[in-house]
Amino acid sequence: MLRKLIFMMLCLGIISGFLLLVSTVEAGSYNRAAAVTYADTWAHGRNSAYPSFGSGCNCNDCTNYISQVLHNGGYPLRTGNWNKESIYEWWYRKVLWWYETSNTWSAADWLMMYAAQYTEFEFRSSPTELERGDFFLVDLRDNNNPSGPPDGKPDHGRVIVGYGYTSTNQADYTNGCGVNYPIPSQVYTLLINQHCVDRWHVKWDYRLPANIRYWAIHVRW
Amino acid sequence: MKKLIFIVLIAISAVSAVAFIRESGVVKWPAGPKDIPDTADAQQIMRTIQRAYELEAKAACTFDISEFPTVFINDPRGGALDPSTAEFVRDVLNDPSLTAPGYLDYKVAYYQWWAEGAARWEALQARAAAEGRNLTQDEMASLVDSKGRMAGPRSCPGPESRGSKIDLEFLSLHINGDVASVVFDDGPRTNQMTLVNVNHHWYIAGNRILALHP
Repeated sequence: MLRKLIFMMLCLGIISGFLLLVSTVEAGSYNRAAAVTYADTWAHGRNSAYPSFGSGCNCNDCTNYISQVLHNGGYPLRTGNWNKESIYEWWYRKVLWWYETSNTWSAADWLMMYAAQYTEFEFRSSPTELERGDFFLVDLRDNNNPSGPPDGKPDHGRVIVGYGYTSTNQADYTNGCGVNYPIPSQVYTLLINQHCVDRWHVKWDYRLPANIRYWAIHVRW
Repeated sequence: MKKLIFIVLIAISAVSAVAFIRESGVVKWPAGPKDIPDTADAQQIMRTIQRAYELEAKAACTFDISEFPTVFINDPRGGALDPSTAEFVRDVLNDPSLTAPGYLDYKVAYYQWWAEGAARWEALQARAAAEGRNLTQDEMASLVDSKGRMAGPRSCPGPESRGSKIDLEFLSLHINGDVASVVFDDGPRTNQMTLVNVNHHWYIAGNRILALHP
């Protein structure tokens, strides 16, 4: 009788443990610490294990960098039919010696469209409502005409890396084309990393005027 | 005589080399003094641009665009809007007959589009909050229009933001009669703005983004 009771309790324990494990994987499996570690590691570099959309002056790697951060936080690829122009897919892959990506992986307006299709993402009112490992997109110009004004579609993005002290490294305060900006006074605030221009731990709204349109996106996966 | 020719040749070579290096951009030269005249017109032009940014910062939160006509204007001297921007204006203002919209039209359309989207966004968010849930997939998708533009919240200054303070860096300003061309940096962009003088007042009539460095 006692043996039977112990056996039943053991079974119950194993089943409960399994259910707990499954529920942990399904909800909240996005590893924000891992995402931020990746963001910090590659803020000024390009990881050859992923595609690159340039570095230095006039590069175009901001959304590709955000996607890599999401992926390293454990958010999985959604390959579907490997359709580059699908707003329901999000992937990169190596074909022979070059990389292919879905538009949602590498273009800010497409990533926004992708995020709007799934409740794994939550659009919030302001970047200041985001957590580390989240990201926000901004509309700086016309996506169809680079010299044109903002068009209601995002064209740049930044990764939230949490609260901390702002960088005092000159490399984080340049225009990417050889011109240095003044290093702001160090403050404790909400920080971002980004590619193009590459920046590490700068204030979330560094060099963004107050009339900029934001899409603040929280990862719920 | 030979010595003189040699010196002249060296001098010509040196000047040519300097000119080539400067034009090719191989060496970065220290920034010279800003190319901005010290005149009352120049001061008014820079104040107008600064005021425009302040009004837009306010409009991004309140959608109050009533003062836009004090800084923006529809004037062909500012240059025609590019086709995609003109299409955006006609689309938002729902006026297909608007053949040549101007810069004021664009600014009004952009904030009208933003305001309409923010109203839809806030209504859906309020309903979801009242029901104790997040937005559904269908609700999210309903915020995206057929052109791939997504409605979203207003942008109001919070405790972690700089508020409406805008640090514009004016790089050059040239006035030719009643048209002025100003190059300035607003943070993420280098802009070339065209202003026109109407009744002794300068208005913004057009803008081109020269470089992006967010």
